[in-house]
Amino acid sequence: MADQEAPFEVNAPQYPPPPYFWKTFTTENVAKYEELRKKQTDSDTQASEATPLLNLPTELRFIQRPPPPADGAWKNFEMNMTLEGKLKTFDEMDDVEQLYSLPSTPTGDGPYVDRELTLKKIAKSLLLNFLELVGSMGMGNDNSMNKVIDLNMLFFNMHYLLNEYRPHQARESLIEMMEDQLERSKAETACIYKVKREVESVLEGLGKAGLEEIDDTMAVDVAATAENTKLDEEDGQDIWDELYREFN
Amino acid sequence: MGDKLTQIQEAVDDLANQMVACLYYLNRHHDWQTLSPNDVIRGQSKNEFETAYDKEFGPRNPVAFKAAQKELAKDLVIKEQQIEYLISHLPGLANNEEKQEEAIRRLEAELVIEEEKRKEAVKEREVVLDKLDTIIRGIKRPR
Repeated sequence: MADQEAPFEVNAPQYPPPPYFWKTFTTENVAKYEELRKKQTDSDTQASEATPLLNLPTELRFIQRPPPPADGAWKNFEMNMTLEGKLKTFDEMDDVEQLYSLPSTPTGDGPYVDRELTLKKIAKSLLLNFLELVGSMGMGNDNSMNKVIDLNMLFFNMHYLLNEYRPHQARESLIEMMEDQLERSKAETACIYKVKREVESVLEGLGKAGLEEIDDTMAVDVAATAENTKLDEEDGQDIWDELYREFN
Repeated sequence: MGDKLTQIQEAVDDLANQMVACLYYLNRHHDWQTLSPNDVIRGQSKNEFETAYDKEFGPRNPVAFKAAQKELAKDLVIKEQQIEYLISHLPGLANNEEKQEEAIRRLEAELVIEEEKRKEAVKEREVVLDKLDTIIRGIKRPR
């Protein structure tokens, strides 16, 4: 019996199937829901995005987002999560200790160079502790378990410090993006002015050509470059007259 | 490729994995020692199974073992150096939050000014385009 069931075990998906209502999430249903939601906000000015719609048809009921947890906390894979997504401080975690001390907190005003040094120190400590771990394991003494704990602590601290750095990096990327945009905007403006000057110089050339009454063929050439069309040589006088009227 | 922080975190995790791999290798392939005078180190493998077992779990020959040890150690150090290199290239090490906010505000203002200038330029471009348009329209095709 067990042997017969084995193939099913192998073919069984790694994760359970999605909840049964996933099929209601079609484009049409979502659009329908959006429409209803819009109607509500139009008719009732007090209704906000979070106010749930009542009397929804069954297929739309699941599209409505449930309200966020009232106490701001929920469980995900046995782990307690909070809405704020804040990093726990070391004081809140009883099984890890802070192995470094920074002269300034990330919200403080100290430069981040201290952080660089601390991170490098931890990286070096990781190597050293691993060496010690292998050494003590090779000698077969009881210290190795402590070393594993030490390594664990170091890795934790490393990741903690890196995660703490994230807001800083986010701000830094924002600055970079803004600088890029500024650069692009400046380049665009400069480009527009350049083209504008070119066009103006061509037009000026045309005007001058008209005033100096140069011969017909020349006028045709200049006009042809300006309008980018080809005209016969004998029509030069006509164009010239037109340009003359335009610029006088 | 993610941002620098993610890169470092991945490198740190790699380092941990490498450490485990090192221990695994050493544990599997170290040579035997006699702990008491009565111990006997098993000799040449006798049958097929034992040969296969030794190949998988048995000690390596000293030269190969030493070389592998050296390589593993080298890889560990290289990884650590990578991490340090990435750390030195973290964005905005010399900045602090105040300076960053100042920079963001400054850039915001500059962007507004620059946007105005750009709009102005676009307008002027329209004017020139119109001018050009009237000229071209003004040219009559000969009858």
